[in-house]
Amino acid sequence: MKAEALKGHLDALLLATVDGGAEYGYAIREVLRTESGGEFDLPTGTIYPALYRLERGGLIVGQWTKVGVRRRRRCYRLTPAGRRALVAQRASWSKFSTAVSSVLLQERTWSTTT
Amino acid sequence: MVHDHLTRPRGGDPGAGLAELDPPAAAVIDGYLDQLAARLPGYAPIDAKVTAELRDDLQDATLARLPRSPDQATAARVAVAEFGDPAMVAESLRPELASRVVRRLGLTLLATGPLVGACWVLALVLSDAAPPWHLLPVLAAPLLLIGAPAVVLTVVSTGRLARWISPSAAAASGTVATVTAAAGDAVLLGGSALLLLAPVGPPSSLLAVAVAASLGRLAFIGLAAGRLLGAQRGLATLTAAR
Repeated sequence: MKAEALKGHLDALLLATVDGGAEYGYAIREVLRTESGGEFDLPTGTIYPALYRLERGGLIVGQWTKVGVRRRRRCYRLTPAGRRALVAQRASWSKFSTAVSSVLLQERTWSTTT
Repeated sequence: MVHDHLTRPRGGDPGAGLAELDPPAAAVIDGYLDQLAARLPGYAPIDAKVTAELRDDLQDATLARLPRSPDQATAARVAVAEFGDPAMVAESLRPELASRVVRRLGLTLLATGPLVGACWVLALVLSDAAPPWHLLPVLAAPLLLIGAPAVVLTVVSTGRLARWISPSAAAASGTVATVTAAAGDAVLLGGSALLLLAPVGPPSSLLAVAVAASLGRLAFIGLAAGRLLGAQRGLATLTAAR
């Protein structure tokens, strides 16, 4: 699935992924890919701008941490505002998807009477 | 809900325990990052942290692909390909970097504005300067009335409220803040030069400090102007994408 198709949902997906424990860019991409059954196989480069946007909006916070012998890595976690945003996004998505499903998946038989 | 298996990608954390890739693999990643940087001219000073993060990601991706690759360089080439076309990645990064440029400019003006203003107030108002010198702050005051809100809007619109304020508004307020700060300095410096040429003595030795402060800020604004123009193009991209 292309990044374009996720437009409007990527922020919520990233918040959920970070909330689930994926801390850094590569892990976030892999979790998105595996948890979606391979549907959300985004180029990693498109994930960082969204992470930076979420960070600037105060929804996640990034921090450099030491990994292994000499490497450092930027790890992200949700802020309280990010947690609240995720709760709101989940509720909004649940309502939206239920409504869309009820319309889209219902089989109707139209009868015309004269 | 925290899932242990989500904390790290399947197969464990590829980056832990390994310090560096071998030179051929590192060259592949460096080459990719160079291509990216070439497509983001003007953002270099603030790119260092972003580049470090992308490099770390590419190292992780390379190490994760190593079991299925003959060598590190091949794994790095696969990782780079999966990271995305440099032109596309640069395009998606540009608005965010542009926003950082505008924010940094706003924060600098927010920090220097009161300092420069205090220097001039001390030099012209609190030092019992002769009457013509008192006119200078009066001339600059209208610019302050426009510039101060613009600086605050610039900082706010590129920070936590960015989600609710249009990027083009951030770029516009950054431009207004920059222009009014430069105009304010020009008015104060030009007025001082005219009064010094006229048979009116300097108000106090503090004038030299105020002049130095304004000249310093003008130099900064001159340097920032080019980046601001580039940032406006980046923010226009973001506005169009909304």
